Order: sequence, then C-alpha cells, then structure tokens
Amino acid sequence: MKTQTKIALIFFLISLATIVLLGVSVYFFISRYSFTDFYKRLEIRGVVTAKAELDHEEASQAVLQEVRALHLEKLPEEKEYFFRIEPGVTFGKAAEELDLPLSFFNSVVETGSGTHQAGDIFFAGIRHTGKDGNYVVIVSAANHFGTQLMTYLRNILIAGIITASAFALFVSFVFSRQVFTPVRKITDRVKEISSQNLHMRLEQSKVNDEIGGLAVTFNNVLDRLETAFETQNNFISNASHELSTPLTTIIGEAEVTLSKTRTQQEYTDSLSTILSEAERLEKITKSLLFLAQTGFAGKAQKFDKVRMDQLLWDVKETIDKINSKNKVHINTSLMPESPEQLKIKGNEQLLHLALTNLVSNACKYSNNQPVTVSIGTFDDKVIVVIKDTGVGIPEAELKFIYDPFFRASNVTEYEGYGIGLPLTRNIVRLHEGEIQVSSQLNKGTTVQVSFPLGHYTLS
Amino acid sequence: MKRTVLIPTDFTIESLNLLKYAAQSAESESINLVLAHGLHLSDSIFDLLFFSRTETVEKLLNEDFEAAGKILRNKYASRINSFRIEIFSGFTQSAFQNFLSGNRVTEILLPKTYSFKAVTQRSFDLAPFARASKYPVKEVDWQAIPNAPEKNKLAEVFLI
Repeated sequence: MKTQTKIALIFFLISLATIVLLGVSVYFFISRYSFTDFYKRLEIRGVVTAKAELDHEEASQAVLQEVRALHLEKLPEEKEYFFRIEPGVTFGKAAEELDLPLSFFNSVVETGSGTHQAGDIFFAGIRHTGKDGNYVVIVSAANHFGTQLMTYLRNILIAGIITASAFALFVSFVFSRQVFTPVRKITDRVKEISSQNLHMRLEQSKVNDEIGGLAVTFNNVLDRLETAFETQNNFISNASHELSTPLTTIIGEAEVTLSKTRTQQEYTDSLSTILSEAERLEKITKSLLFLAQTGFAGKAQKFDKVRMDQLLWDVKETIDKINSKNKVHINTSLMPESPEQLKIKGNEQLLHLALTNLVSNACKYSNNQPVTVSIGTFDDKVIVVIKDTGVGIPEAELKFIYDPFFRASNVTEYEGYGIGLPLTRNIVRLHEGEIQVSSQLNKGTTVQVSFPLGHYTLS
Repeated sequence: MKRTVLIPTDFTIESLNLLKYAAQSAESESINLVLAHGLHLSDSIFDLLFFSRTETVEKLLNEDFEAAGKILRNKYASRINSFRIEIFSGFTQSAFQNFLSGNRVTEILLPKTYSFKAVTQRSFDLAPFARASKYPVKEVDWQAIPNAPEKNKLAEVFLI
C-alpha cells in the first residue's frame, strides 16, 4: 500500500473512532438522564397521590386535589396502585396481578423506593407511611415522550456520524495527497536525472521545511556527484595527455636515431634526451602515486609535533636550494608570542611537501618576484598566508584548480603538470586543515592555509 | 592606572591598523583596548524592548574581522590586558563624554587619512565626537592597502 493511502486511512480511522465515541457517549448519557428524570416524576406523583388518597386529611385534601389537577397533568397510561404492608404477608399476589417481579416490591419495602421497566411502561414505587399503616405506592406510565426523544436523537446521531465520516474520509484523502505532492514532485524530477544531464537540479522551495531540506540535500549530492564526474573525466584525459607527451618524445627520438647509423656523439645526445623525458615520466607517475596515496588516506601517516615557524624556514631553505633566484620573505610580524600557539600535530614530510609546493608555485608564477609567507594564529588555528604578485588565476578557472592535471589558461609558458595543488590540498585535508585561494588576474594570488593547533604545552 | 585606548572601528581588517599601532606603542606596559562603533539604535519599540548589546555586536562582526583581531591579540598577547567591543549610540557630545568616562578611556586613536566605511545605514563616524572631547587624541597614518586579491579576507591582516 502506498504511504499516501496509509496515512489517509489512519487519519480517517482516527476521525471515525472519535466521532463514534462522541455519538455513543452522547446517546448513553442523554438516555440515562431521561430515564432518571421520568422515574423522579413518577415518584412525585406517587407521593402526591398517596397523600391525597390515603391520608384523608380534610385541610390538605383540597390543596392536593388542586395541585394534581393543575400541575400534574395526566401521563399516558398513568395508573396508581396502593398495597398495604402487613407483617408476614408477601406481595406475591400483587406481583402476579401487575406482572411485576417480587424483588421490585421487596426493594420498595426495604429501601423506600424502587424502579422497574417493562417494555414501554415504567414503574416507580415508594413506601408511604400513612396514619393507618404503611403502604407500597406504585405509579406506572408510558414514557412516550422520552422514547420519541431517544429515537429522534439516535437518528440524528447516526445521520451525523455518517455525514461526518464521509467528510473525514474526503478530507483525509485530500490532506494526504497535499502532503505528498512535493515528495512526488521530487521523485519525478530525480527520475529524470541521469549521468547525461547531471546539471539538472531540484526546485528549492523558499520555505525552510523538511521537504525543502530534502531538496537542498539532494542538490548538494548532485553538486558533488557532478564535480566528481567532471574531475574523473578531466583526470583521465589530462593524465593520458601528460603521460603520452614524454612517451611520444621518447619513441620519436628513438625512431629517428635508429633510422640510420649515427656518430657516438649523436647517440649520446639522443640517449640523454630519452633519459630526461623518462625522468619526467617517472616524476609524473611518482607524484600521481603520492596523490593517490594521500587522497585515499588508506595508509596511516605518522603524526607528530610540528612547529609551524620552523617548518616555514625549512621550506625556504629547500626553495633556496631548488631556485636560487627566489625572493621568499617570511613575515613574522604577526607571529604569536607564545610558541605553544605554533605547534600542530602533523606529518612533517607531508607538510613540508605541501608548503614547498605552494611557495614554489608562488615563485614560479610570479617570475621570482617577492613572495611573502606570513604566519599567525587565532583561536585554535595556525594560519599561513602565501602571497605573490604574479600572473594570478582567471576567476572562472578558480574552481578547477584542485583538479589533477588542470592548468590555468594563462600559465602555458610555465612548466608544470598540475599535480602540485591537488596534492597540497590532499595533505591539508589529511591534517584537518583548510586551504583557500584568492586571486586577481595579473595582480597576484594569495593562498591561505590553516591547520588546527596541536595543543602541545611547554614542558 | 592602566591606559585604556579607545579605537573607533568599522569592522574592516584595514581599520585594525589602529589596534596594531596601539599595541606597538604600548611597549612594555599592558593596555586595555576598547573598540567602539557608532550606531544609532532603531526607533522601533520592539527593537528597543528586545535590545541586546551582545547580539547587536555579533550582527556587526564578521568572521574574518574576528579572526584578524585574534591574530593581532595573539601577537601582542602580553601588551593587551583586555579587549572589548562597545557600541556608542548617543547623539550629543556629553553622551560621548559619558561613554568615554564610563569605559574609563584615557586616550583615543583616530586614523589620519583612512575614512570609515558605514557598516550599516545607522552607523556613524565617531571622529567628530572624539576630536571635540577633552581626551588626548592621536591620529595615526598608514599606507592604504592596495586592492589585493585578499581584500576583506583574513589574509589581509598580514598586509597591515
């Protein structure tokens, strides 16, 4: 069964139960009230009649007759019976005569009052203490009015319950349909989305409700899926391109060299070209391997105490070795006073690799113009900012910079494979850090990396 | 008595230059810093009924400004005794005078060339009040930050 139908049925059954319960209780209490009321009336009649008929007091006789005539209108089939209570005599004969149970008489004698119902006729009995002995006074009458009232009430209630439940059934189906419309819409829309049209998104309602949240979550999943898809596609095409370039060179060089006999010098030259291309190939595959390893985080890296400022000086040293023309300036003007706020938990080799990548990129893409590396801390974070005044990254391409092998359109003249930044980001992520790149074309790039502090105390 | 320096702020990282100057000029003593922002309160009865100073300040603050402030405070940890952000919402000079004495301000720092940006429509410049007050006012000049890529981002703090 569909959830929609289920909800509608549950809603309907709850409403039906409530309505029926209400109807039954109304009927029950009204009927009880109506009976009690009628018995009371019969009792009063009994008292008045007994006084008038049995007591024979001259003074009150006239008054009682008048009360009976004026205020106690004759009930349908009203009858009165008087039985003298005599010790040792039971009411067996009287009971048989009136077709009443003996227990009724006994209860009147013992408790002073009693009631009995036989079909439409109601009997009320009282014990009357007169001047010349005790009597059992029984008044009987038909409660036509009460019976009519109850029938009328029953009919109204049954009609009401039927109408109300029909209404409840209708409302519950409309209601559940209404509730599930957005869900159905989402389902229909998601069905349309396949790997061919991953750019499609669900409609997001402006109201921040559960369904809206679902749509937003779906869209986020789609965003990630789309990015992953694109990255995968780009990666394969870029990787094969990057790997095939040196291979083509190697093959071409070898073919040309082998086409005829060469001199010793020519062989040496050609072999060294092949060697350098092969080395390049090795570098690419090595860094790819590294990228894959850090990306997976499958192997547990050894994390230890790393002092960030020390690491920056080490990085500068490494850069100096690779590129003697660099102008890396380490800005310690905002370095915190306490060394405790500089220690993070991390793998020194990896962090060194990541920062060297960033700083050497800064040097490379700014043609060795000054590069500032600043360090500061706030809250529980160490932040390192690497700023250059180089070529920058076109704004539209900023979102692709972490894709492996992606290279911005304005850096074709610089050598590189496009593995450095994704690798750096993987390392930063491994350390639960964050990396942010902001850039302006031809004005420079600022990379901001932050790592959580390791909470090492001085000891 | 410790020096208490009032620093007007517009919650931009560039305006933290004043904070840096104050901390640098403190040298070996430790000072109290009060960042002040001029903000006319709303006229709405509901806003006034449910006015909360902390909430108002929180609304004005942005993450990068907070982080930048914390970096500076870490840098000058031993020189900054206390640091807080206050809202001045008065209209008159005497109200400002009261504000200063209430915060036990001993001196005021103002920028010489930098002009404050209005953070909200109700923000106003405290400089005219400060100049008219009887407190010692010092004007600080710094080189304007060029339109760098990290403008208004946390990294800007390293440029000031």
